[in-house]
Amino acid sequence: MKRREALQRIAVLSATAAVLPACDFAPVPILENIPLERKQWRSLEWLANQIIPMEGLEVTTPETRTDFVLRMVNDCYEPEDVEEFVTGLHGFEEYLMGQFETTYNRLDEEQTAQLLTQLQEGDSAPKEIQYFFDTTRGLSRQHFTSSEYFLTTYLDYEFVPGRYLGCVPVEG
Amino acid sequence: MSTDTSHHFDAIVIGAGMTGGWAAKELCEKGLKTLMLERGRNVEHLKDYPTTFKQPWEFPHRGQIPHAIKKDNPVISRCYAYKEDAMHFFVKDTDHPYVQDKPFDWIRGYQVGGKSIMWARQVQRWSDFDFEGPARDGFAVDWPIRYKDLESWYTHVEQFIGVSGNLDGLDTLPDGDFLKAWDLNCVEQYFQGNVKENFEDRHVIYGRTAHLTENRPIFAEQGRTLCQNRVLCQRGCPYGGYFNANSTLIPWAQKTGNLTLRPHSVVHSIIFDEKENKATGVRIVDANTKETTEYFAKIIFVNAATFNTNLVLLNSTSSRFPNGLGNDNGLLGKYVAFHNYRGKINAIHEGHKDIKTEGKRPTSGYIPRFRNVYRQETDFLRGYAAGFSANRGRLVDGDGVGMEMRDNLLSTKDFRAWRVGSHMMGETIPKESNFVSLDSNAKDEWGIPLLKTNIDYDDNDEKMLQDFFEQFTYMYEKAGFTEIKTRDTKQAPGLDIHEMGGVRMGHDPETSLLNKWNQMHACPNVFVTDGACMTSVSTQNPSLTFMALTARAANYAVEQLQKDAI
Repeated sequence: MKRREALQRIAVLSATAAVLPACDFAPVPILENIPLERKQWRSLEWLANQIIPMEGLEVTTPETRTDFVLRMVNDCYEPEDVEEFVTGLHGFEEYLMGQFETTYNRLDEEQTAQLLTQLQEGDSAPKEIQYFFDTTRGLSRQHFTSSEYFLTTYLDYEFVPGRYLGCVPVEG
Repeated sequence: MSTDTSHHFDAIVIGAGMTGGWAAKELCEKGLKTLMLERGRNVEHLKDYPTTFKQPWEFPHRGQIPHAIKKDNPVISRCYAYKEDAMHFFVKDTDHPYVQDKPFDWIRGYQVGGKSIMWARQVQRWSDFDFEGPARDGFAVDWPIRYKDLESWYTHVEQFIGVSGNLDGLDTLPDGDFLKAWDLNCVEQYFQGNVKENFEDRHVIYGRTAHLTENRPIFAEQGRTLCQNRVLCQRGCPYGGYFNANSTLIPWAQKTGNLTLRPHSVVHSIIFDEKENKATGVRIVDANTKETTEYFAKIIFVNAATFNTNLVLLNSTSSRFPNGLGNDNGLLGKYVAFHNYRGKINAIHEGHKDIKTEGKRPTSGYIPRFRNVYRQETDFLRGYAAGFSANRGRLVDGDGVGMEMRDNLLSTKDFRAWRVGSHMMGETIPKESNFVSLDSNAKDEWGIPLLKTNIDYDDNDEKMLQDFFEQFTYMYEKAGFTEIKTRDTKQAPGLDIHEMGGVRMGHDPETSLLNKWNQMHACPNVFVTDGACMTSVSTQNPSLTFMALTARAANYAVEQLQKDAI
């Protein structure tokens, strides 16, 4: 089989898998404070990836963005904030149905943009949905800005600097 | 008395932190078979620094402490260094409770190395303006020593631990044997010049810090090499670039063959023999088995860290000393003081836009005390030192959502304006009403009474705080800084991690517990050389002075032993 043909087949298979929930065998994360069904988990994953699209960037992180968002909320947030996040997460699908009459993975590009804009503007969604979005947005950004890629490319991060220079001209 | 020779030593050192380490080093070098007791676990240099090579993105919570831990441990969670990378070196509130009759944030490190693993590494000598403070200003009691008594011991300590600093020639902050300094950055230098121009007796200097910036044979002999500017010191350093007891004093003492280190040993009390009229040993409870054991020695150094040293002595009761060892005058546990760290000030510096810094530096600028130094000039006693640092980093624009946020994050590499800031380190006045004591009922799981804290700020501290705000606002305005913001953190005493006193030194057994050699007036083969011995607290970060006092006292103790005087 030629390489291009093989890649096309893989692409078709992947696309099929994406719309067929029955083929999604990945175990749903189990978290002490965040009860999670497969569809809720996948909708969070979808949202987190829409918040900062990574296409074309080679960003490797120890955990997926979704796992990071869930872990941070589960472990580090105040119980009442976890509750609000969970309510928002659980209500997200219903919110989408109400707004767009469809589910997250059937939203077209325009609808996705509209959704993100209205949540970003933050004046129309129910309080829990807004909290769920704001939290996911903040943690998605933290996951990206704490990545090796971002720290080394954009923030001059060095693990072992071996020097301190106090008066360096800013280049350019 | 036990005849088991494995329980007999020349010296026992209680506590394996910074001062215990110094006692052990000096005593072992002089040939004394020394037992070092540590209530916590062993921490071996390199081997027991589990996070030292971890990148920031490898921490599951990116440094944050999980909510459940914070909720159960509010005191330790307020400590600036209690983060995911070093939390294993700090004592949790729940593991070792104490009773706060008044709020006191007691920050502890129960392990070999103690808090020397996570300390902030700032080391400044005291001057006679500090030692003469109580006598001049009429508080506490006169220090039984002056700078000249400690000068050579400061040098002795600096030469072994390595201190990076400049020779500043200030009479308020004597110079030492320093390794080269890193830069003050351009903005710090600008402020330094501006302060010099406008204020006669105020100086902005480089904060002297216990880091290796030059190689010397003594450091190579310790197996240490140059600081690599990671500024991850609180995790333990793979280069031995900063001083902690684990990479220096303890292996050094072990190398003599004279040290026996016993971790997991909770000291219950010091054993006093009424017939011999001296302390003969130490009673411990094994932290794990809870079994009680006794060890015996000719001299005992108490270096359990300020409050635990007080606790051990208060709990060492006998018919000769019903109120605690050496406590004939009833002052044991009293006249505790600390540093007032409540004041912070921050501002923006609009200048130097064409300048940035590169790399990292494990210190900052330092402003020695300038208030009430040469004469009493305010309506409060004493004064404060302060830090000063300026920094700037890249702007991170995380606005928007979707491709917009991504573009914002990936398109900005500009620098934000310089931020400058200072924090206050105020001298507090030791008072009888600031004290620690033992709870008469509650005990810990090793059967030892819980410590109670009764320590608070007073009017002098409040006035000093306001003065810090006023003076630094004025200094910042003179330098043209903008958006000046002052903040009273309102933190409880203790979060400065500079608690001192309770077993103070002095001339007179009626009014102090220790003599000028840190020897108990009433029990001369017991020496107290950690923060508990401090008569007053001045403004300097105190560890260097504790270490110098310890080395001095240990050498004195050996001389006295050789003369059969104790």
